[in-house]
Amino acid sequence: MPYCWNTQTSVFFLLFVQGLTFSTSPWNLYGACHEYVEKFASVSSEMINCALNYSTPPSVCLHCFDKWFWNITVAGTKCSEVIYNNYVVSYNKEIVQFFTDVIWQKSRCESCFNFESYMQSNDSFPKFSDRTAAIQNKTLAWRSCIDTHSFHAPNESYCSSCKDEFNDMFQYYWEIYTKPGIDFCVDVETQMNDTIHLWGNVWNCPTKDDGTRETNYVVYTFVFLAVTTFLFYGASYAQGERESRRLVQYSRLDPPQGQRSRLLSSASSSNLHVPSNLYNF
Amino acid sequence: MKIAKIDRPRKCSFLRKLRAYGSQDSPEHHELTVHFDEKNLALTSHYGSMENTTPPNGTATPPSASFYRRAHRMPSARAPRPRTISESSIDVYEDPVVGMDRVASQSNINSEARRRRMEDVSQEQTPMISPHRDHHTISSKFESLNYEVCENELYRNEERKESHQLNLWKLSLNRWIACFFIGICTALVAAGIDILVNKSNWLKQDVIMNQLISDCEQQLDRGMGGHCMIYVELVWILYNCSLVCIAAAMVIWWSPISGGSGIPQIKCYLNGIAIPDVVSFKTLITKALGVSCAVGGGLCAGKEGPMIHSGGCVAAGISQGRSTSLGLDFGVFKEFRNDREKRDFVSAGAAAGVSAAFGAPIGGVLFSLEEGASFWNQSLTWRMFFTSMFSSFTVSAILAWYHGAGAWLSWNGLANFGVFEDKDYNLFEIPFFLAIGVIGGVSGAFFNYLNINLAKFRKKYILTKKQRLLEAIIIAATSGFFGFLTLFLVDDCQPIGINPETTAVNQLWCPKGEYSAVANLFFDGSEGGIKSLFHSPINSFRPYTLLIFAVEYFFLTAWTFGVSVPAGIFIPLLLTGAAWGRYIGVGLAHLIPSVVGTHPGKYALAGAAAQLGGSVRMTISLTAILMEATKDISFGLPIMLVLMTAKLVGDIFNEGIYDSLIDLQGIPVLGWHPPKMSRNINAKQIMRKDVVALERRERVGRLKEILETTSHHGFPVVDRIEESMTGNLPDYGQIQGIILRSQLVRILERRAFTIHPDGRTGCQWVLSHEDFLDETDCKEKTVAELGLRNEDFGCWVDLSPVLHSHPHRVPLNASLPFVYQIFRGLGLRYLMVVNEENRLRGVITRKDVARFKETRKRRRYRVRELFISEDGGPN
Repeated sequence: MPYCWNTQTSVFFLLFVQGLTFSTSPWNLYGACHEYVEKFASVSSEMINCALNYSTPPSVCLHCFDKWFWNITVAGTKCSEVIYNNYVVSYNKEIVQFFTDVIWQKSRCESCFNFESYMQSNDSFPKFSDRTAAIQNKTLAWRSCIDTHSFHAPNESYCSSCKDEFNDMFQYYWEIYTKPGIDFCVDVETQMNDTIHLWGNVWNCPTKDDGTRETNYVVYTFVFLAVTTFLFYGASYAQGERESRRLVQYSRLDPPQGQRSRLLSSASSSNLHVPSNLYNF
Repeated sequence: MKIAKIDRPRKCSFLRKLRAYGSQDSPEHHELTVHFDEKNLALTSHYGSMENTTPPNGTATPPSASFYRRAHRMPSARAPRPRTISESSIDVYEDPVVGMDRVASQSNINSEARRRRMEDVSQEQTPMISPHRDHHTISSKFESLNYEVCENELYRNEERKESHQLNLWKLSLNRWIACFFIGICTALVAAGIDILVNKSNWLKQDVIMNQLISDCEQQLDRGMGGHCMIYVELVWILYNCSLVCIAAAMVIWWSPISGGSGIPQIKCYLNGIAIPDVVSFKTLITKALGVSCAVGGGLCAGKEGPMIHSGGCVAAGISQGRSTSLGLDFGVFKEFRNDREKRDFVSAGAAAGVSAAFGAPIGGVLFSLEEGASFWNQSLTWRMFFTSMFSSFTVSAILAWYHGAGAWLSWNGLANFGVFEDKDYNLFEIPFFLAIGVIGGVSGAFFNYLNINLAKFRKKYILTKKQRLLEAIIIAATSGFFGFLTLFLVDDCQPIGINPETTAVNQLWCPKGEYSAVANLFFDGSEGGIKSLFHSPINSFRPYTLLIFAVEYFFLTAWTFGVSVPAGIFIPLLLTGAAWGRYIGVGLAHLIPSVVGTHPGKYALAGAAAQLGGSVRMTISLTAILMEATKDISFGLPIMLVLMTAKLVGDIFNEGIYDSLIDLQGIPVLGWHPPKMSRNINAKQIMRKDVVALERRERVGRLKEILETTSHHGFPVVDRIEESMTGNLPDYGQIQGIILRSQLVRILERRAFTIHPDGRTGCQWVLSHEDFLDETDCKEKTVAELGLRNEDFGCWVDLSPVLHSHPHRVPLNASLPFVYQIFRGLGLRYLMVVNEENRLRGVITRKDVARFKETRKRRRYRVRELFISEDGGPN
């Protein structure tokens, strides 16, 4: 039994290797598509290489997007069906899903590109979206300001000299960041986080005026609301009159009197509201 | 039966003894009419009955001390004041009036026996109720729904017709059609509420506030002043107050029943109580718009409770095919215009409301069964599930469309709490979950205590409409301010990006590039806050932030719930519990990370369940709702354990919040079980004897006067009513059936009466079964609208074809638990009490049963009789 198993395995392995090695092998039904497989293998390794290289800080979208678009070029061709779906296991598919679900979507790369104009144009790759381009420009302006001053002034002067550029960049970023439904890709977010961290925590440039100067107003509001609440409930308590309630206990009800007592009796023994002339029939 | 009157002197001496013995209250309550029934040898008083060994010749033996004790133990009698111990007698425990014990025996043994006996008596003579201290009363303004099928001659004749088969088939089909539309329309209302709240938040947060904050930032950056944040705060408060003002005004001036959660009202309705306007179109509009304004106005309020109420209103409106508020009648579903069918549809509507609110169709069905069903009805349950499913998936489709995802049916419900990625928990964590349940039980009971006492205060002192409006505005302003105050005082600024679950950030007083984590909890909407607490990474909130937030939100919710706006407590309590649950989770993750892992979300879920369960004390439906809302059954066991523990612990201290509110309103709800220790209370003590009864043939004049001067909704029909020789009440004959007020109104409206009693002349209308299909229409008609003329009053009406000939009846000695179970199980409105000869002796209604309340003090159960409040207004 072990002998048979080894023989079968060896034959199968031989066939398998032949199929992989020779794209024009007559045993390979879809040899014509093999060039795509080879290209995919090459691009995938480049993509992984790029993603790892640009993982700290993450900037996969901005630097590795051209590798990604190979997937789009193969999509729709006759071979895409062969590569992705014809066999029980498609490693190509698994790897594409990994790129799509893990890298592309988690990095929100679509937020940084203008896909609409790309789909309508004949460009090979999509362009950056306007907001991505704008924030990149503002970042460059701020960085060039830092670069300029670093040669002529001590570090402390960054804060005052490049404050406007920083505020301009941050304001633009924050407006988009806080707006629901619009995002930057992770690359831009990370870049901005690092920029803010560098500005505020490393260089200790002031990013916010001290909030204590608004303490008085907060205290005034607190006192006003507290006094109003106290007065409201206090006055309600002092002036409120307890509503008079008529409480009865069914087990000790008085015998019915008056009209109800009359209602309890039968019609045959009472002449309720009946005009006397009606009894003359 | 012959009623013999006892000689006057004996009666007086008997009465004097009884009065002097213990009952020292006002004499008018002790007018005792004693008469003797030859058949059953029972002494009958106006308070009840006392078995005696009186011989049939009417010579009563002197009453013994044991007789007095029995008299005093009668629950129906007013409990006398504690007896003053005689100081002058030899034995201080002897009876000061009769003194028979001293004569009979002077021994110390007897003295000791008497002492013990008198102690027992005095314990039982503790006043049952004190109107000045006790707030538990039952309001007389609430009537019951009638769940009983009226099987009269007309109905039986109808069933003999060939066409009845087709009608039955149509009826069954129409039920499903009505349920389908109820599901769809409930979903439309729920989605409408959600979209309104969403739009309001967008306007407030993204348009107004962001612009103001942005301007403020720019001013600060330019060094043009630093006091702009106060304007942001004031605008925020002003916006909140405006919306809350709209919600409160709608409730106060237009539809007062719409205030609060709505779940207690729906619970009462399903229990069989007709609360005026509870499911009207006016209520629906106020609920839907009001809750949108209240939640949009930043109150610590949830929209889920009002959605459940809205579901009930939708169901009532659709199933009746008309709106009495608008005066519209679409002429459809006329066969459903009775209490029985309407209540079934309302239960389906409530289930659809839960389903829409939480995306929990099974939870919705279980909610209706847990809160309202008297017994398991398989076909009704299936229709409820059908309605819930359509409701849930219609909401999903609408919201998916609204959020740009097409008609995506798998979109989550309104209050979806996200899906837990880390579902792992182990056996060693069960004790921690149980401990959270205990904490939830205690805090839930404390919440109930605070809120109920506040509700009592409001009931007593906040009476005018202006006061109610002002209170709502103060709470709105304070709630808005507390958010700002907290984030001003609590330094919990987190770098943006630390929490991937965060969808919106508020910078406010934080440095650039950071956001206030606590502000997100306050300002990001309650559902967003819960989701964030469940799923955010462990370092997203600082622990003390969670604790401070939980405490603040707890008290704000306790203050808010009950104010005159439509507002629920599901989401605020879940948010509160999630905050302190997460706090515990974070603590445990630092102390024993190897056991509990590093994700505190599961403890936030347990805390949320514990806080809510500890307050509302719902069990199976809440478990199902939370499981469905989290889209996972993995946490089913911890949720169930936590809810069970929270309920057990909470029940030690007080009732659930909804039950307490129902008690406070004086609504005569019948719970699942009759009062314990009540088997010695029998039908004779429960029933009302002053029955307005009818004979088979009645004059129009008498019917008119009865309809005008009473509000009864049903009248027993007996073969004869005779003057009693002994008492003030007439002597009713054998019971022939019962006729409803709506039927009398319809008879008079159709002028189905004759000039002669034997029906020879003048009947202008032949009554049919169709005339009585619409019960609700007749209830609302006044006698003046019937167009009766003076000459009609002498005419005769034959009630025989219309009356329900075999109403439920019990003998005089039926016990309270027996009567209670019949009422609860069958959804009755009336229960006749008859003697052995089938003669009517009294009628029992819901209030007669509900007035007996079980209490437990010092580990002893007691039954006490509640007062009935007859002041008409809300009590």
